[in-house]
Amino acid sequence: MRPKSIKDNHSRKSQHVHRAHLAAGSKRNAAHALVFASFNPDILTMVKAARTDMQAAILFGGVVSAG
Amino acid sequence: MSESYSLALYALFDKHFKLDAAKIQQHLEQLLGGSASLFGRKKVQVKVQAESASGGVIDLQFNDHRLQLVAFTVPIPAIETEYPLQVAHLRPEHKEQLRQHRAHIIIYHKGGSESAVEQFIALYQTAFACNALGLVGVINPHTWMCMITSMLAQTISPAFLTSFRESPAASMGLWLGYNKYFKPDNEVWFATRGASLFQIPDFAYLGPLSEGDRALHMFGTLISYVFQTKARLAPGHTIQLPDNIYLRFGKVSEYKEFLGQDTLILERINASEINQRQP
Repeated sequence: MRPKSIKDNHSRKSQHVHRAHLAAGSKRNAAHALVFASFNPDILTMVKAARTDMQAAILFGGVVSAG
Repeated sequence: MSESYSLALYALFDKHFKLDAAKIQQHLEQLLGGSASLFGRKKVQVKVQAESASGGVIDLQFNDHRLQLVAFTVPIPAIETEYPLQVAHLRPEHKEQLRQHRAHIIIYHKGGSESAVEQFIALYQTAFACNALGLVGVINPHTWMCMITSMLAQTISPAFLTSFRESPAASMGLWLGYNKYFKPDNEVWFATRGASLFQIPDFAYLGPLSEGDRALHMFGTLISYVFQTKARLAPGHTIQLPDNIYLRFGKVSEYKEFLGQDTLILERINASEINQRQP
């Protein structure tokens, strides 16, 4: 049975509309927050920083400027 | 090896070691909580298949899992590690530490448990049990995620495992792949990697670097939505996410070798376009 907190109408096959309700997003965020709360600050900083770090990436087409 | 495997994990070491099956067994049993079950049977069964100066092979069983550890006293070929290390969420000195490893064990999951979630947990727990041999970190060849040993220790904590079982999205950037690819025009493809292992599509989103957190949150919500509802997403479908984000799923049109042939592209649309065919 589908959790009540997640309402979607993807069963209407002809329309293909999905709705990941707020509850689903909040639950996901809570799980993620719990995970990251368990990390020591050093590791947490490292992982978060990598999200906006050009070094933690693959560069297509060679050099990319930092603009 | 003729037998197939479903998943693998690379464990990296900074020095050569003796593949000590008893030590790995002992550490894994401590990790799993206690050394003996009812009737005095060990929780972890080990069998040494081969031993030599250049490595060895151990078969290992616990709970519903059958694993095989294949050890080599040489580094992993650079072609296997370079992309994961480029996208690794690690400091440069940590990447270099992993790059400079001198020996490795490939941990194969060879069956037993059907659940990819439980297979992942078993692989990472087994890798941590190898800490007794001088583990410096792990590389997941499927998701490209790399971790140093101190991070690995925290990802096998009960809190992490509870969240991971609730949704693989909780492990994004750690076990489940979250990668960035810069295009020459400075736009960035943000993409998941390895979600398909959990019967979830991989997702990609094109935007400026500043949208990294937004991409992470959209991916997380989508992965949890599909994992928990078993919804089937396909190109052309639309979805409403929290914070009034509206998306249409599209097909990959460039860099398929990196983003994945079956990855779904997230295209931002207006509320009025939801449930409308693309013009």
